[in-house]
Amino acid sequence: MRTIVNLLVAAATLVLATACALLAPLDLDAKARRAAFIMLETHAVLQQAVLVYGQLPPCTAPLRVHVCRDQRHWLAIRQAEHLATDAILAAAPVLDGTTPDTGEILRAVHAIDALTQALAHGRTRIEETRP
Amino acid sequence: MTREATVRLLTALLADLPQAIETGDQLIRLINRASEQLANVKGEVTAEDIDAVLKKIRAASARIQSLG
Repeated sequence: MRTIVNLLVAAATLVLATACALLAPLDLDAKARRAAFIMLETHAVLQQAVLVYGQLPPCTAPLRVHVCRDQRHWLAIRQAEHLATDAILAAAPVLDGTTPDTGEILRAVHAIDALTQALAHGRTRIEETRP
Repeated sequence: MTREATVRLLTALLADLPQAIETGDQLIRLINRASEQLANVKGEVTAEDIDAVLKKIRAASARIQSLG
């Protein structure tokens, strides 16, 4: 599980960094729209990983499971996901070109980055105990 | 980053994923699908494309928030 989280954090961070650079001019031309699309797809993948993690049995369960969910870690990830999705939805009118950007895209990028940070922060807490 | 570079990155990282753990299989399938989606990004992304992924994000978020 730790490897998977590392993988997702690395991929998301790289894509986010690129998306930040491409969206910096905030002129949503075709290139920037494509960067935004890739950023959103990356967030969608991160969400699926969060779902998988969230469905693991809690670490307080009997030790018959190989991987488990740290509740504090999970709550932090879930909160970060909530904030990131809210920020993305707030940026949606900018992304579809109906309203001018007043910082929504940057806030969305930062919120998604916070989600990757939440995953990274807790990754060392994930146990992979095997019998 | 270009689409091609993104796909190359994902492919390279996928090669290091452990195959044995239970949730790993599920995630490998997931990331494979994501990689394919990224590979299929058209040269021109439309507002409809962005709307579709936004809907997907909204639905996934609802499921995440419903987990205890």
